Amino acid sequence: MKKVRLIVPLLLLVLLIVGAGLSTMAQMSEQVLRSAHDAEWTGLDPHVASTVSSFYVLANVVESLTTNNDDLELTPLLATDWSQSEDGLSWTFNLREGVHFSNGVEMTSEHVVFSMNRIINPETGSGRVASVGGPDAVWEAVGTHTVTVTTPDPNAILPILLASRATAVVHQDSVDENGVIVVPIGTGPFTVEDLDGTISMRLAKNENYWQDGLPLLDAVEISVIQEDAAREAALLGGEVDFVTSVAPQAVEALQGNADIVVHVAPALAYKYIGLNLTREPYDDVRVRQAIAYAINRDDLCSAGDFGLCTPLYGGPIDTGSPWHFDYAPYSQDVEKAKALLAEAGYADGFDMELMPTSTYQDTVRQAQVLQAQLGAIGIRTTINAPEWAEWLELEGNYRYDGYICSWNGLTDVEHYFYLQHRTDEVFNFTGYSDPAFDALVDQGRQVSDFDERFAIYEQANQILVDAVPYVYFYNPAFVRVMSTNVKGYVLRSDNANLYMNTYLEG
Amino acid sequence: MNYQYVLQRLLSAIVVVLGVTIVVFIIVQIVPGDPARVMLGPYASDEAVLGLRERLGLDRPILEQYLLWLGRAARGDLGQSLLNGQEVAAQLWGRIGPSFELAMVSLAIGLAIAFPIGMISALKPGSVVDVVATLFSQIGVSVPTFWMGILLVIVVSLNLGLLPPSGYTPIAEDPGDWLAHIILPAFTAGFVSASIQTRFIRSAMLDVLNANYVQTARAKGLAERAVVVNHALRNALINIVTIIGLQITALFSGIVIVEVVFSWPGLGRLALNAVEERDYPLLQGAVLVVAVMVTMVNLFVDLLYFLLDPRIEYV
Repeated sequence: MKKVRLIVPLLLLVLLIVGAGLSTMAQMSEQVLRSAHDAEWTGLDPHVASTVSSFYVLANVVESLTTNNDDLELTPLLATDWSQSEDGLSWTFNLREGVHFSNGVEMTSEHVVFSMNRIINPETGSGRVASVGGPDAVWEAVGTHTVTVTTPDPNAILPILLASRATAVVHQDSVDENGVIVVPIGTGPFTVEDLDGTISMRLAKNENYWQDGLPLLDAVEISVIQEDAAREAALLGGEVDFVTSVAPQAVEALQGNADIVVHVAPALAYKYIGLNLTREPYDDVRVRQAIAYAINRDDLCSAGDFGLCTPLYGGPIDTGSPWHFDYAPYSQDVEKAKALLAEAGYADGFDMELMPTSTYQDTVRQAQVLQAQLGAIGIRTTINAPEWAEWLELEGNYRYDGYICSWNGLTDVEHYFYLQHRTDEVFNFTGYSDPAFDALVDQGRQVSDFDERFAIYEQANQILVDAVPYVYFYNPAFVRVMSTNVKGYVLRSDNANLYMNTYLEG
Repeated sequence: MNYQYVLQRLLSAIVVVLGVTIVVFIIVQIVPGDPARVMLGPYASDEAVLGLRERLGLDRPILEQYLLWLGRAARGDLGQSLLNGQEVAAQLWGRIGPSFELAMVSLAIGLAIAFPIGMISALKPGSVVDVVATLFSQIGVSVPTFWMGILLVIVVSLNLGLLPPSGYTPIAEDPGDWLAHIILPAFTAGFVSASIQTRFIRSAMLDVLNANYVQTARAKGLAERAVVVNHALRNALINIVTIIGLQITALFSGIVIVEVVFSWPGLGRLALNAVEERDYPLLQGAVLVVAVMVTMVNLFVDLLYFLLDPRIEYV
């Protein structure tokens, strides 16, 4: 009896050890990337979500008709080719055949029309209506793999605007009874599994993915570590293989670490202060120019992003973009700034409130630097740094003197100039309005030839830089840090976080 | 034990919880910031924001919104998160366990530090131990929690590689890993808690040690150990339990920063995000859970008084 008593636990122990060994072996043969994201996703409805943290996930789960490749050139994705009608009022997209959603259903034109109509439907509350042709666009299925879209006015750049996961094609079953997408059913290389609120999830390989041999990983285990130091420690301690960002001040030290690879790429983004043109004295162009001349962009860059940036002395587009324009008049010139202020009748300066947001500390640091720089030309500034939700409300209702913010994920020149600067456009929160500028950016939408468009936007850029509704500070840089065994990941200037070609070596 | 008293307290707890939900509901409406605008980002059109407000029911009168919420909550339906569409109740349920575990381990660490130090410094006031204990308390109260947390991450995790810097493993899944992950956050929260408790234990003990009945006990010739443990400590416990109760409620609701620094999936971090994103249903749900927990702890502490000192009568 005693022997039997001993054998049972011994057997159990052996089973346990063997089981643990087998599961470890299975884990070893599985390619699983452990990735720490820096912020919790704010929902996974691609048509509604607006945060970078949501698209860090969604970029791997859903796909759009067109996309930008790693060199940011427009390329086919779910559509194989497209053409515009002669009158310019409609586009035809031919869809890729043999594409399946993660639930196994084949993607057809019906799904495309459903998704585009969901974006246009005001009840969805999507901020991307302009990207699918505007509220009056009509999407129709012509065959199982062909769709057309008709717009009231010619739209030469629709395929460019569609190159965003925010216009993703999803399966109808993604939408729950409340009209919300909690977990999208897409055609992307991964599917969402084990979703735990907004703190962790597993992206599992989509077995139905249409690109042969992809994705290379079996899964990505995503956790959220908001604190910079803890995220860095998790990477260095081997708890995770990959982090979506580190504190900019830590980059230099990490670059010297042999076990770590630091990727840095110039960001298609810019940081700026928007001036309220509906208020005095910012309605006077000389005052705005004075502010543009007064600031030292290198100091702002050091304070805001610890030197990981390229200063902008004119328009918002960095030298790395094909849409960079040379016009750059605003090198720091304090005397000229003072003279402009005097000419505008503000020789003794004036009081100004700077509005960064406490949610993004880089904007607060920039405000502190601006305070000193504007003080040098007699502008007496105070800083009001509300948190994000309140900030958005103040900005949206023009209740500010100057707001400090950034624009991200811009690829085409249209993204830079149209919606943020054209009269009464939804992105224009400074009140800037100039018919000459409007005419140019309207014309830019009708043209698809690069050189022709370049010439148009070059003029628009100059008008804008001279009018200074925004003072552009600099283009920041994106950073990703990973263990040396993580291969194939490409850090892109549009910040698209794609795990599809990533794999683990060794 | 007076069961009528317990029933009365339970009823008043319900009133308190209801009151808290009303206050929070009003506050979130008054505070600037619109969840629809937060969801759609800085560049959304007014039409899109209005459309989303309508879909979320935010365009209805506040009273209607509250009564709707209350009606559903009474049936156990706390609604869906505005931002991610997930069930609020399910999200909260997943966070209660980690929050409770962290609060309890923090409290245990806090008491393990505070009790001996507080007792010794009360028994030997003005001694070196007392001076050091006072200094320790001052440091604990003054050091910001986030700084302490980050310092521990850098020294213990990064430099020494002793413990993981962040994350959580359920205790049922791997008790060893759970312990490894909870030590740093619990120590960070417990350290601050300990410094407050040390002061309270010291002053509570000092009060009773100077009381006449303790002098009498000594005069009777009782051993010092018996005087301290049987006469002084027993009476000091009433005050100590009060402060421990307050500490537990603070730990339940107030260790947001610890949770953020160590990526601990607790209620505090959830509530903080809900506030930042103006996710009203999630915030209401989190407040409801914390309010219930806090009133329950308070009730438990009150009942504990009765056990500690039978002279206390509840009316």
